[in-house]
Amino acid sequence: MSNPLLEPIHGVSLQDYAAISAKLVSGVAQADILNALGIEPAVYEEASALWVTRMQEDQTWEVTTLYGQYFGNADQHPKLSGLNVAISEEGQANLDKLNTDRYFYEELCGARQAAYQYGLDGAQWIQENFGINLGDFQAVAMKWMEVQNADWDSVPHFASYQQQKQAAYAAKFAAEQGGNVADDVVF
Amino acid sequence: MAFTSKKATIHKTYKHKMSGFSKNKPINTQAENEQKEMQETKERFFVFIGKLEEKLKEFAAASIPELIEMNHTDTDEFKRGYLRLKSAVLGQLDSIREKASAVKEEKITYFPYASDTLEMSSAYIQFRNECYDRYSLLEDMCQEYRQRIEDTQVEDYELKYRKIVDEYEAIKDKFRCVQCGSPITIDKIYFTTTYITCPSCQTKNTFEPSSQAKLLEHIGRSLAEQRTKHILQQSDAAGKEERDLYHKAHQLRLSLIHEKNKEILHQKEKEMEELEQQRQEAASRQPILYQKYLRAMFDEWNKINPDLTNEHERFFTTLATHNNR
Repeated sequence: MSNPLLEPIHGVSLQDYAAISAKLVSGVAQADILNALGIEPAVYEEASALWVTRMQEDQTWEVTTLYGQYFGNADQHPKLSGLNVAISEEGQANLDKLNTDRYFYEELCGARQAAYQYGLDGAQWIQENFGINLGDFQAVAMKWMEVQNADWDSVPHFASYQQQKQAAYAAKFAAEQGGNVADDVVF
Repeated sequence: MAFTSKKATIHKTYKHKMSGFSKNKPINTQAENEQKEMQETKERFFVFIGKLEEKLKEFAAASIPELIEMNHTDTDEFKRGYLRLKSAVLGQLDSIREKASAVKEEKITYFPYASDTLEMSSAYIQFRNECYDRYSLLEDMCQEYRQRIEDTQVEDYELKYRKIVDEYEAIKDKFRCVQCGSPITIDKIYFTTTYITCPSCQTKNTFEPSSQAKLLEHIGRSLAEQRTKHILQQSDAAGKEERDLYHKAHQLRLSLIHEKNKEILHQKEKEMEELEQQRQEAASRQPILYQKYLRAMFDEWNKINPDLTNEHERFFTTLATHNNR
């Protein structure tokens, strides 16, 4: 390992740390995760604080980039792969689609953003309407980010698609809430 | 140059629409009609922007007190209810700005005219600039209200830090060894679960800080930023001054396009030189002030959570290096 910032901290590797974070965001209890890894809370908490500082001082973005990859692939962690919260059949189908269909992913990103603009908890709205929790959503987001980083030419196309979808969901939320504040002002 | 290109695009876009118009009327009548239409469009645009400003003021006047109240009363640790409301208020503010921007593009930027005369070109530039300036006032107002809305998210980090310190003072002499019962003094504020060895029997004890103490590092940075905000504001002000001077000089430059009077030309060019000197001075001052802010902020952060001083300093180096690039 050539970059010293990638060395494990108290035995907690960057892959461990990223996978723990992903599982926590998914709603798995910290005690269950640490038990599976055989790590004491004291060790994890200090390592966690120090991994944050490693990312802060990393000028090459290598730590952050790898963190994102490990976070997105938390289910491939040798000791944490089977540790998941319950998900409905419909939620699982949507999650599978989110993993394979870029347009569906962009649509839900737009929907989530629009939901926040209208005072809703966007992450909760996705959970309630598509059965996908925030942790799983973010893990898929990391994967699509890698795809995007390898194909910058497609960025404008998908950004435009996401904006269209965001506008469509914004119109839906606005209608549900009785419209926007300046709807009666016309040119 | 930019205008020529824009005009070409406009002509191309509206060629079909305007072709009949162009054939059937004498050029001077056509130009007169187009200038009249331009004037009417400008007046309507000004009224439209004025109405949006009124809406914005009314909406902000009702929302800001509500946000302040909710920020005080939301007992959720992460203030999720307040944040959702703030997000919705900002969303409405954006919807007003976007509405104005869309009309600006459609009615002003792509205002259709066919007369290809210098007089018409000048009239269009003036029309467009006046409408853009009017739109800028709305944007400024949106920005001002956005800041006021953001400012409702006031967190008293001094108070949060005080609670951590008070809690530490209250518990530091109350911790006892699980093995022999001897008192163990907690020698500092721990923000992570920590093993502490009993000085009497050498047993390793686990000390778990409270949930608020665990936030020390996070609160520490926010508190340090709050304590040194005035220096950051000086740096931001220098940046704004630089941009304002640039825009001022740019306006002067634009006003020279059709200027023929040599005396006025000379006077304005001299004025532009002076503005450029002032702009460069502000531009060189801004990064120095930002470095001063960074140093002061990290010094404060180190005081609040000295355990991570080395890590903070490495972070400081990263930010300072990045800022110097």
